[in-house]
Amino acid sequence: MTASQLLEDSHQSLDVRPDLTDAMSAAWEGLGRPGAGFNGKQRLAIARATRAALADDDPLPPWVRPSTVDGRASDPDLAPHLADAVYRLTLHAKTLTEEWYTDVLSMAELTPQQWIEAIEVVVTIVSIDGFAAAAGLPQAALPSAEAGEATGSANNVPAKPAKHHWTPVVHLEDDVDGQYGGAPMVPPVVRALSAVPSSRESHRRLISAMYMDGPDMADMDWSRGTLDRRQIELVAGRLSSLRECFY
Amino acid sequence: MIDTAATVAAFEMMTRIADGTGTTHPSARLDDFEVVRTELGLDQFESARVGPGTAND
Repeated sequence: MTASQLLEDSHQSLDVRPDLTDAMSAAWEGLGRPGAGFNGKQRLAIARATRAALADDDPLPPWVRPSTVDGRASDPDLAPHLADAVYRLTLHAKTLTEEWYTDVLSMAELTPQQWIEAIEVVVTIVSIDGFAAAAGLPQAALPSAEAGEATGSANNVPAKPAKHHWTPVVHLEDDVDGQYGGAPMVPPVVRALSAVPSSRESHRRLISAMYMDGPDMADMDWSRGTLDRRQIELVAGRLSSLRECFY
Repeated sequence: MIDTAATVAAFEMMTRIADGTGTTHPSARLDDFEVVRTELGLDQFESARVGPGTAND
């Protein structure tokens, strides 16, 4: 039985919406597949590091890098500087600065696209594990790594430096692949992972199932399931406040 | 409970995407909700960033 089948089975006990289970299952299987800038083993190493950070019952402060503390960053499939960055993003995201981002790219020898893909893996773990924790479900086992090298699929994406992000994004006028669906305006956070289409698509599918689709955001009377729009935004605002996320 | 858990999961994700990529609001949008920002103390958040201009990347 695959890891995603185990995840699907756990959802049946609570009658989880099928589209929600499908989105999570697809993202979960994707963790072990070669991505645009990392192979499957490397993506799973980022996933393990994220889980280890979440499970840390004596978290390090933001200014201490786990790789400088014995036994904190010893995964052979994960470079120490990337392990440090994953830990900081997982536990101390509100403290990140553009200077920190620039230093991470330099020290970990990452491309901006690889950092975007690392974010995709981290948020897949924190969201799906977060859902399980909030719903009282068991944590799913990680999938196995699939063979193959990184695909390089982001190499020809027309991403450019951005005005509203540290990372490059696909600008609206360059959206030849139609990932923005021809919308005249797209919120900056929706464009944040656009330089790596596979990461953007994984995020789009998850957020559509967990929260709502972009076109629905303008409708303040939109609802799905047991919560109306105002209740959804109350939960979203409270979580964002606890994380001190200004955006 | 499931729908609440899904919303929590979504914003565990969104907050880290915004903070990990340095995503900002355009300054014109920030001006639109200046009163709310002030009343809720959002400008005191460690991650508070002001976007440059109104351009849509």
